[in-house]
Amino acid sequence: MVRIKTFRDSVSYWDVERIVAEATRIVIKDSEIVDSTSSIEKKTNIRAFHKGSWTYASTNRPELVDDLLERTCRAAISLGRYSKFAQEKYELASGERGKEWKTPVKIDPVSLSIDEKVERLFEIEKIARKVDSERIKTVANYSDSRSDVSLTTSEGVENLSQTITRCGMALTCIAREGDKIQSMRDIKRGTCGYEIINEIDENKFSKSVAQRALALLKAKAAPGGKNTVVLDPLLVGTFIHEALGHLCEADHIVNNDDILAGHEGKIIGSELVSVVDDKRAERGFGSFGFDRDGILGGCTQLIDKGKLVGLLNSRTSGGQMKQQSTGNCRGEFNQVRMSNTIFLGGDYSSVDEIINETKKGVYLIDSSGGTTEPVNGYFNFGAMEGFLIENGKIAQHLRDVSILGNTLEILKSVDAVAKEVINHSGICGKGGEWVPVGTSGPAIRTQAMIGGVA
Amino acid sequence: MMMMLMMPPDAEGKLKDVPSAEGLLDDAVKKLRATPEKKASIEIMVQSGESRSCSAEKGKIVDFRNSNSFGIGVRIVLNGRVGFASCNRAELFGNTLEKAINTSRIGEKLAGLPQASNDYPDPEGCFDSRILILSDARIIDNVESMLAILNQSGVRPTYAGMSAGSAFQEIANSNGVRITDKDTEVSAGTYVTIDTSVGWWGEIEKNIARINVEEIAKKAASMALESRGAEKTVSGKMPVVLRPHCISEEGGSGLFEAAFVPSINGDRVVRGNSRLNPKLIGTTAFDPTLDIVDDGTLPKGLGSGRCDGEGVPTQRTVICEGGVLKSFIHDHASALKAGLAESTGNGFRDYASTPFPRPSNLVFSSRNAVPEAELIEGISEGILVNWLSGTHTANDYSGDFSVEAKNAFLIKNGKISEPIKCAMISGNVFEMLRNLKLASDNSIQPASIRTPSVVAELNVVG
Repeated sequence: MVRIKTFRDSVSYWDVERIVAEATRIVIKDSEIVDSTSSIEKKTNIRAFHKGSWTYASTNRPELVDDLLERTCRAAISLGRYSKFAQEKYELASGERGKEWKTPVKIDPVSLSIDEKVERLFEIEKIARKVDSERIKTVANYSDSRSDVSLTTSEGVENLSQTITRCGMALTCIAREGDKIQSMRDIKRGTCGYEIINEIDENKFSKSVAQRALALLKAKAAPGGKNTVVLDPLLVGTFIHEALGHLCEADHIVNNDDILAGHEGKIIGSELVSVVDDKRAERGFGSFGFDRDGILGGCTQLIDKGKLVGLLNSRTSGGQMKQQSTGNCRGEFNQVRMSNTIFLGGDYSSVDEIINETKKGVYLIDSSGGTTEPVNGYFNFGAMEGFLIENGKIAQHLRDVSILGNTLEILKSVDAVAKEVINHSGICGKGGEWVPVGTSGPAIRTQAMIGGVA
Repeated sequence: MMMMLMMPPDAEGKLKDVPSAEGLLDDAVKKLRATPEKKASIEIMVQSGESRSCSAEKGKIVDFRNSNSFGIGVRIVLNGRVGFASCNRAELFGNTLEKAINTSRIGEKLAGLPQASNDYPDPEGCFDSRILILSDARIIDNVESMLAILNQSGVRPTYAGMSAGSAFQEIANSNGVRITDKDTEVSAGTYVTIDTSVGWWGEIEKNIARINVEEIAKKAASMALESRGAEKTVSGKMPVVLRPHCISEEGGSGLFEAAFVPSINGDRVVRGNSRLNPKLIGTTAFDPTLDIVDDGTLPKGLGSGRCDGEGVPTQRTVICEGGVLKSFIHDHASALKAGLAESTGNGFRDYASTPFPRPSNLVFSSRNAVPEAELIEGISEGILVNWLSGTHTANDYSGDFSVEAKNAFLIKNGKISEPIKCAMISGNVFEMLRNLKLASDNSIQPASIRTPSVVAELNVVG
């Protein structure tokens, strides 16, 4: 029999990713279950690459995959021919091929009954309500997911598989007194099993969230302006994600829309600043075995003692930059994304030691999110709460504090870094796609502009 | 040229071979009859959709994508408690039904599902069949048109893209609800830079004739060019003109979406977790010039449709009339808890999640509306802001916010002057709405809110 030449034989590259995902979600509000959902989804994502043009397709119908792969490959060839604005030819970068991987899990959440999860969530939530049943209301969210991913490529990868299990919970306490209303939340989650939920010490965790929410009722708006800021570990993770991580995503640099373009090998921070992106960080919310390109997830050093030593690449951005892939292709199809960004620890014994030697400043705690603009390096992020620092001591409690800074200035101003690194997590959005990320760091001190009353 | 679209929908926007909600409901009812759980109320939602998009980076077309999918959500009320599960394959339906029954043992208390209605509105301009047959080449051509204009303008096109798609939804429940709804959407946007100045413009419409890609490209380019060379900073309490994209923005990231809408959500209100409470209904809670309406029947509205996510007809709900608080937005469950006869038709969701009160099209308007130029003329010293960044850090309970102003300009003696380098603005949305004396007479709907430009006294730090 004569084999007819297919479009898939003619393109530079193609791959097919099959995902089966099971998930559970539970929401409790004021000791009442309001949502208990379980879902199962099957999905196939197809990609084809030819001389600089990518085409993608996704479907949840396995019977269509073979035909759809042909169409996707044909479209990749015709896209480059059709458009007068077609991307110039480049080759996909190489990288270390991924290996089969499974999230290290002690207790598989999928194996537990929903009743058990609900009971545990109630235990954690009820303690928060007991702190002040008159003034405290609660929202407790639990979620787990297990995704079985299998990748086949035109370069001989066949059904390379990984299982990614994520599990976690969040507790929000809403404190109310007359017309005043404030909220506080804490999150425990990671790429791991149900053990992360069992390990929660609810007497500490839940009480602390409730007490912090109540205390916030008496907090004041922050004074605006340039200030010395001490950031707690939970906030440093978001800080380094926004202020540095996004700028190291090489797709921005390929486009020359990044102030770090041309800064490789140069000093961009004080010598206390060292940062890595670690794709296998234990329990990191952004951990995985291999990326969307099938490249092994390792650890990438971004800053070493203030010097910019590395960038994050996919096979696509690496191909355009003439660099190796670092295994950072994530999202549904093809984006350069961080995994777990970690600001490495320093010399100070604790955050207290940093505060003690700070005459005047603001101490900021935990993150409520942030955004960044790679082209000019301006970023902003919010803190859950803060305190004024006066003569080395914690003073007035502050609410709704947010910070504006510029990467090239703020990293150079870091003048104190504590020893202990604490893991935190976030959900990061870029180009309309959301991925879980780890954000970790120690307490640090720097200079920034605070939004508030001028 | 190429044809990627795998399963072109029919003229109604429905994909081939997607199971019908009514058929699945019959299956579920039969299965339950054979078990002790005879007296269940059941609801099936089936959604399907198709979309195609083309993106350009750095002035080059880099990819074209196509996706098609469908999903099934099963909600069941058994012994007064809700169970829910979802899947995206017909053969998983039996398993999903079992999971829904299982989760109902511990689920939320709910007295049944919505009743059938004979009276569904059919808002004009929600479905454009031309989008279903739009060729892949036309989508690419549109992105190229944006690139050509951006190149002429001298800015660098970091990103330009267009997407077009359709969605089809069916809801059937054991109370006799049978309703189908269809929807099309087309969007285009571009992000450009020059030096360290940035410009962005994007639009979403349900009708392709309302998208003008050339205008979108021109707006983004002029935004970047006008903000070029920003050196100025400014601080103090001053009048701030917030343009519509500050108030409402893609993904619900506008200031009012982040910091005000949660407080009119019926679920928060009945739990006592909103700054607004039922006792305030009938009182002047906002500026007497302010009107706010949630209108799911708004012609061409981005959030318009025949029904919400639980088969309740959409409607026009007055939230605030001349500053007087009139109502909140409810889904079936929150309306029951609030002691109301029925939901306001705001129980929106997708197939994989349970309903929750969300706005359809929230329309803000002022009885003091004047042209935007007049708003600016009345300001001796203030700023004009086109976008906000960091609104997700706004306090959705208290309404306090401290966010970054983007593409901001000084206003001096009633005229727009130099661009501002960087500024944080802070205030409280409830305070803003109590003192919202002035707004412009031109409204647009960037996301869930249709809004004019508004003026507020806010703290600026730069």
